[in-house]
Amino acid sequence: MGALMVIFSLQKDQRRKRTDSVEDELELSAVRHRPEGLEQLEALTRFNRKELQILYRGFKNECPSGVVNEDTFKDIYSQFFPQGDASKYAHFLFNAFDTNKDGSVSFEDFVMGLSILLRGSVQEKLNWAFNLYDINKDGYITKEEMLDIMKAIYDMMGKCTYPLVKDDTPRQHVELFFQKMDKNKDGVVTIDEFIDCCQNDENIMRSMQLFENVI
Amino acid sequence: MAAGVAAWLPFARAAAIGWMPVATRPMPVPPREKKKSQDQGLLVLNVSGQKFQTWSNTLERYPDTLLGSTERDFFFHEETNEYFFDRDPDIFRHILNFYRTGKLHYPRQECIAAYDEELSFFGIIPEIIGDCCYEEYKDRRRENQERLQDDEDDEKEDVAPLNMTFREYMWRAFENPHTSTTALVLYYVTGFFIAISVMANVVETVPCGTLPNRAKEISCGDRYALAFFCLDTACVMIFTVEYLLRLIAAPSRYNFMKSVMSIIDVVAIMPYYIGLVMTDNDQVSGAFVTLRVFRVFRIFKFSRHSAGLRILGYTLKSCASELGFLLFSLTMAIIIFATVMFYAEKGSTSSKFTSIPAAFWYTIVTMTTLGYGDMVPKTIVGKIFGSICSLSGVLVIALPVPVIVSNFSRIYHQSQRAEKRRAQKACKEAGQLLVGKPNIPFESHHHHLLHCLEKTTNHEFIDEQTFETNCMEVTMVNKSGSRTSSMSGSSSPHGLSSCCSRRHRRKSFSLPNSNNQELSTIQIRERPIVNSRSSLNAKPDFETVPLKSGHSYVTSSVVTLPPAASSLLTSSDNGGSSSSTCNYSQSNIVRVSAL
Repeated sequence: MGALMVIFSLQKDQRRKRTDSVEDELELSAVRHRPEGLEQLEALTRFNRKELQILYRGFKNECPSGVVNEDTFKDIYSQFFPQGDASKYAHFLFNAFDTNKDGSVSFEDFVMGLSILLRGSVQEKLNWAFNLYDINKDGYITKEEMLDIMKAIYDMMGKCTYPLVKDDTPRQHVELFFQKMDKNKDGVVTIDEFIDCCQNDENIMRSMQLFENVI
Repeated sequence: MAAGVAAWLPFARAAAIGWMPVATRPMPVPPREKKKSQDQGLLVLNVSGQKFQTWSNTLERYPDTLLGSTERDFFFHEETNEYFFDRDPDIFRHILNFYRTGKLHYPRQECIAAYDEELSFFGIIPEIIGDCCYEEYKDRRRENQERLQDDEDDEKEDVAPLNMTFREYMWRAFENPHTSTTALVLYYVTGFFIAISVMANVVETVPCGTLPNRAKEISCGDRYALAFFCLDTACVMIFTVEYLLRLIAAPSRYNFMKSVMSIIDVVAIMPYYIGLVMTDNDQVSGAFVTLRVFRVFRIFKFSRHSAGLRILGYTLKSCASELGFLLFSLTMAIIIFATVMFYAEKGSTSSKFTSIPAAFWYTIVTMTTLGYGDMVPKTIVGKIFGSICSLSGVLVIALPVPVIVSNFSRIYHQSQRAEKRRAQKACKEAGQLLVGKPNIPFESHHHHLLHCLEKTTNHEFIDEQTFETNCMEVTMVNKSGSRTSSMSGSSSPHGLSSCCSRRHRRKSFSLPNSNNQELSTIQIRERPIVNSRSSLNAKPDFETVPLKSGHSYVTSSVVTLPPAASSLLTSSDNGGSSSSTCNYSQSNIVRVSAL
């Protein structure tokens, strides 16, 4: 019995040593990313110098290595939605920000995305939204893609809601969306249908202007 | 997180644009940004000659502290255009780091009193010390307080209050022997008699030579029976008097009688009195003899005289579970080997292993490597298993004991720490709530964001308790669907149907101002996010203030969806939500009035 206990504790030490070495390896290869110069970013985005400085300082504080990977991204985004599970929506957001699909969001990606969202024209914003919904980036939003997005949004609400989110609430919402957006009733929403429809909808137009003064 | 989630709020709000095309009803108006007249700039803080510089934003994250509020203006030095503080720069470094990182650390080499002083000077409450240093801080603080308390107590003891009653005086004398000479005398006398009594009990049983007319040796106790009896009586007298005096002097008699020491006292003197009462009745004399065993408990009275004994007792009490485990594993091993030995030795003649319980003795003696030799196996199989038994005895006993000892020490310290942490946690959370004076712009923006999400999905956040009650209501009512449809049918298309007891305030849109293009700096103030769901909904009061400041109210159209899933629309500000969620059975339908 004593032998068993000793053996067990020895094994634990070994396991710990092994994981330590793996972690060490990971740390050595951690990316340290430096963003492009301030002038270049100024040219690429619609932020001025001061705004970029403030944005970068906040970004660097959270992610000292200069890039955000998906897990950190999900963590940060989830902190704003304590009642629900924001990880799925954060996943879609991450894909939308990560334009070069390298699995991490650098400061350039981040600030270019923000530039579109906050300072872009309505067309650009709608484009961005379409891009977000179109998960496989094939130019069409299918009902399945929309359902995924919808479920992700409803997940952020969590379970303590009034009225209760039923299982088919996302699906019904998707039906509504398609009824509104899909003009030719072919089961997918193309970018033109999407933009057309949004531009004709007062509410959506108004809400697009909502966050202009965020920075 | 470092600068806090507040730094990413703009991003989260921008990302909310992703919900807009999906939403079917309009979004609430965002809260007004407070116009900041000054740009963020560098401040110089000169602390006793050491210069620290930081952004003014950083300091303003905590408006409740000296540096974050206008109180620092009192320390502004015009000639050098800096803020001068005549305080310790080493400790100030930590305080400034708190503003930068949101975590307050406690440096181990600093004196706790000096650190506390600095914290109180700068208006920072210690409860926000980060988890990494909080324990250390609390330990040091407690030690310091105990030291102060001990000093005080010592002083108090030396300086006797003048108007003590005789009872208090006696109690004090009993508990603190060094207070007065009588106390000291009592202390030594009782100690002496305890020792005498114990020694008498011991010597009583020593064989003392033979009487001339008997062949057998008799013990000293029987030989000098009278002397021992007198000695015993004297000791018991002293002990009884002492016990009664303590009982009289005790401030709380009930507590005194419950305490361990008084029980030991009682158990120590009881056998004598029982012996007095009982005569030489043969039936009970056997029981009486066993009672005398209890006289040895007098030795425990020494624990009043020795702190070490008390600590030992406490230690044993606290590692009882570990000892229990050791005992349990030993018992298992003993039973296994005893069984094996019994069956192995069953065959041999005149075997001492008459039963398994008889084999227990052999197993215990062998496993603890005592090896008395009164029971030995005779068959070959028995010898084989006997040797396995003794080898495994070495392993089973010798190895776990150090493991258990170190385990015990670790677990003991850990449980102390865990208990301390639990006790501290409650204080900490109370403190966090105090210091987490909400960062108003951040809070209002965060709430606006959550509100947008609610509008997008047509559902509302409620806290857990109301959720539970709602669930129960739903199951009781059993037809929530029919309820809502009936409600929506009955609500009038004009005006709003208000809730039973309160009016829900309307959320209003204001035209988005286009003159906010200039950089209005975001005052990023941080607040430790309290991760409780209900708190999120319970913060409305702060939001109403900025929203109500000087807007022209414009009621807007709120389109109700065709029947289906969400025909319930309640527009209310969050002030209503947290407390009146149970009243959410309204549908408020408002028509458009001119924009």
